[in-house]
Amino acid sequence: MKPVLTKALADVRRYRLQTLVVFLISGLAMAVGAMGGTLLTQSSSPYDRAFSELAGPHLVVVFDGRAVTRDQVAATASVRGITSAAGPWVVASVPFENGARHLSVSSSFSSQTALSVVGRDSPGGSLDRIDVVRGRWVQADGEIVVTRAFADQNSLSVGDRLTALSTTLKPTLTVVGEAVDVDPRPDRAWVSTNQVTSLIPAGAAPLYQMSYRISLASSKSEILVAVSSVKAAVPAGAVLGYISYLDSRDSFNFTASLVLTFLLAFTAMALASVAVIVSNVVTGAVLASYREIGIVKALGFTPRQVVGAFLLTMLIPALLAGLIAIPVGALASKPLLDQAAAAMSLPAPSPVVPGVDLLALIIGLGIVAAAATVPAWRAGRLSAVAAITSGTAPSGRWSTSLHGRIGWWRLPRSLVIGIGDAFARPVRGGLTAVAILVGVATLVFATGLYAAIIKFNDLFSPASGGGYQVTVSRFGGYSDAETLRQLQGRPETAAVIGHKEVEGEIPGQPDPISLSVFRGDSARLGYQLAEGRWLAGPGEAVIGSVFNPNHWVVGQTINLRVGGKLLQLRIVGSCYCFLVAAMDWASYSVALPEAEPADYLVQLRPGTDANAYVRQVSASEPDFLFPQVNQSNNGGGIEGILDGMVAALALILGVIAGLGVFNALLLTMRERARDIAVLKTLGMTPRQVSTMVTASAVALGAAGALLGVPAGVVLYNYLIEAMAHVSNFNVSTSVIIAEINPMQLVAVGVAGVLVAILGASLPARWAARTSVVNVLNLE
Amino acid sequence: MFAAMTSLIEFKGTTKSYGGPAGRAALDNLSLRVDKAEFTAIMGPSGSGKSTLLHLVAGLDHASSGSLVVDGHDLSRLSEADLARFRRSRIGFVFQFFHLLNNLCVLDNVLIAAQLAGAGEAASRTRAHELLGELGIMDKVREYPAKLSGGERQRVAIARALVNHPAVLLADEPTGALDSHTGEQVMELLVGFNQRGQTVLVATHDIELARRYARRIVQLRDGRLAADTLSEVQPDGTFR
Repeated sequence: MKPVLTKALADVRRYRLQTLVVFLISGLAMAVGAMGGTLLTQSSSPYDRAFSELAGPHLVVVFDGRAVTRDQVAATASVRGITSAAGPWVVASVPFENGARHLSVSSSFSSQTALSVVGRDSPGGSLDRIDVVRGRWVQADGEIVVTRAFADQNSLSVGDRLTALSTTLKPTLTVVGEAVDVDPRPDRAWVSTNQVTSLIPAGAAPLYQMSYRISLASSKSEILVAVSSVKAAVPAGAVLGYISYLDSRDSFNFTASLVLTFLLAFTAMALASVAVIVSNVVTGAVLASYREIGIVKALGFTPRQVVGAFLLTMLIPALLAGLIAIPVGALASKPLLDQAAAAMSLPAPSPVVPGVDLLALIIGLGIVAAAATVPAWRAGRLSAVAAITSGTAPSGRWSTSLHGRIGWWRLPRSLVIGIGDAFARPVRGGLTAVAILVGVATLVFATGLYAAIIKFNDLFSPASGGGYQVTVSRFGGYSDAETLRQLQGRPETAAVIGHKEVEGEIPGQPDPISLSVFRGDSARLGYQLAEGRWLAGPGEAVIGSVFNPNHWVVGQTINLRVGGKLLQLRIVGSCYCFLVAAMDWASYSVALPEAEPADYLVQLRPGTDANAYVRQVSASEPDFLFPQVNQSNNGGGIEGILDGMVAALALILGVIAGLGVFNALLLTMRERARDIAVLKTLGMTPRQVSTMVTASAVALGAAGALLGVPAGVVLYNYLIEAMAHVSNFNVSTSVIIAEINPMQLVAVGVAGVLVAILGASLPARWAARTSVVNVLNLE
Repeated sequence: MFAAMTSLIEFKGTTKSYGGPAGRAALDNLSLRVDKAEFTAIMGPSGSGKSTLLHLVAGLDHASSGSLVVDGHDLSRLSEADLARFRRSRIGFVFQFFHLLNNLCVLDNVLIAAQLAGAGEAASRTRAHELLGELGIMDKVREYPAKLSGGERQRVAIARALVNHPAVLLADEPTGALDSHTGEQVMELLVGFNQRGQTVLVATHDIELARRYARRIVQLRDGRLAADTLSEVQPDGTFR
């Protein structure tokens, strides 16, 4: 073993550039692997992890204080099937302002103007704990802790003062902390138990919130059994609503599966690139060491020792690289983990996962060893006599025939020779082209995925289809008529559509569904239709294409109980939206003639400044109207996460591919040093030499790009199907698969060639500067 | 006759040092003129500066001081690119170890020099075929160097060196890797070209060969000019 190690260490020191290339590419790949692995494990089940860490409840039930006492709510903790409970906590619905600015918060394709403020003196406990990520928990009246998402969206920080608008007293609360818990809704806050009662409007009854863990909670039906038990334990009508942990968890699936598929693909690609480049490096080293292999075999090295020496020469720099790069890769995942957690309103997990890091090292070294084995094995089988006598590896004839095919007199000689040299060693040229192919294919895939996400968001965001620009909520008994007069009286207003979210029951099913009711010309909201048409009158419904738990179809007539009355609605269309079902106000008023919209979606005339409009409306009725600009929600931060990942991983793959080209051309240049010197003697100028080497790179880059672009398109189509499958997405992928802009494909292909040229720049420069006298004297 | 010839190469106090100003001088204050159509042998022991002299004439290396004018070009004033262009058109170089491009066939090895010089295809092919025929290797034009004997390889190298009608043919130990018989054949070929007006400068340490084929023998010792003599023509046309 000792002579093998001695030889390997000597080679590591002697072939410094080769060692550096192996060090860099294996380091980059292992960093990507560690980053991918960390993100994979730490964000693959963010909800489950947060649920476990914070002892999340299976069920949160909200009770109406008019129908139930606090003690009755507390007694539900002993209902059959409940294993533990926390609460009850008093809850108030409170709109806030900071200075003159009304505060609001957006979550999945909706916007909230009032926060659910919970009276809670401690964030801890055995169930439903809250993680204070900034500042501290409330200790006295006059203090409030808000969700991190709410603070981020409203640019609030600890120390800011918020005015509660729910009562005429308008108490001011100081933000003392930001917190996250397992509930992804950002429109929540916490105050002391004493403070919360002061936020409930006079004459209004409090709401109570209770959290439960239940013995059987693996399915929705089991949750419903628990809800029924709780309902049975309190007076009828006391349960206002509930949230199941299954619903919260499901809402993460799409985002998580997007990120994970993306990462998996990138990690696999990076490791594939490394495998081909390491294989190339070792093949080159074997060719360069031809005579030396003969000598060491003549000295007594067995074939196995020769193989061992080559493997060690590759594994030593790879190991060193792994020890440095893996912690860096793991740490590099932290911003993405934080960003992903913030986008999901969950606590950020730790980037340190020793098992993943160890696995990244083992896989990285395994790939380096596997890639080095075949060429090293060839070295081990070389005949000592043949290697010593020939001195150099036999060169192929490929370049010769290529020269002939290109034709000597049609292109400048330096180009012809360079292009021929690119594949003078077909395996080396092929592997280098594959490294570029992998990089280009990955970028094409990333470009396509990005386009698909944009298309997905365009389809599902009403604001992108024209929609509305301002949402106005009304408070304090301000009438519907007054609100309409205020809004429609403004010349900037093009249309006002009243809106309300109500619950409907499907006869025979215990689980209520959410219904969106629109008053006015709701077709102007611009929901994009997957099938059928939009609402045109009473007795009609439009369903969403994503959440369709009852498997309704267009043309079907459904029965819904709303406000105690049975409505018969015919489904006339389905839209790309997260609505369960939408109906016209005329249909709703059959059930509840006195009902009024809760908020108003305002479409402005072209050229109107939405922010100025909001300021004017707010100034007109500061106590009663709560306007806000509709923020086009483009996926809850997923684009930001993917943007960062695409940029970082594209850079890494680009560097790996560039290093592959660098390595291949360096090897070629070393082998061809004598030929280059001869060509210079014959009158080849330094620029022509440089052109010759660069032409090799362009040939390799072009080959990789030409194959990489279609490979990327195929990969994109395949993976988008896989992602949709993983996330149980109801919409056909043909809807979201976006045509990749041909110019972008060209740009990615050109980028592949440019990376190759960049990788060739140093070898080309060195070749141009080669001293003829030195090279020929060395011969 | 010798005095009437036009000077083609002129060293004036030329020094080439390696390892900086205080380094070893491979050529030391050399002054030498070589005229057109001369056949000059540069002789001397190893390290005397023979190869360095050829490298300087070919523009492969720069003189440290003094001047060197070849075919009217002051080489010290030329850039790397200009030197490359100068080599293409004015210099032919024959190496001891041939230095053919192994992945090109014989014809392409010759043509590549013409192509680099920007010569027309038809004229270059004609010239290459002429030379290869004259050198007796027409039947090998599609062979690759690996399949040729040493003498054949050196003939290809000579054809390559002459394809662009160079002003000077430089040969660095052209017989050093050949057996004596083949070496003589190569020298006779060089003499043949010289007799048709080609200036030839041969570096060799073989005194017999130099005396036999070179009209003029320049001897170097430690980079300095040790002797510069003319040989006498023998009845068989060779010199003594």
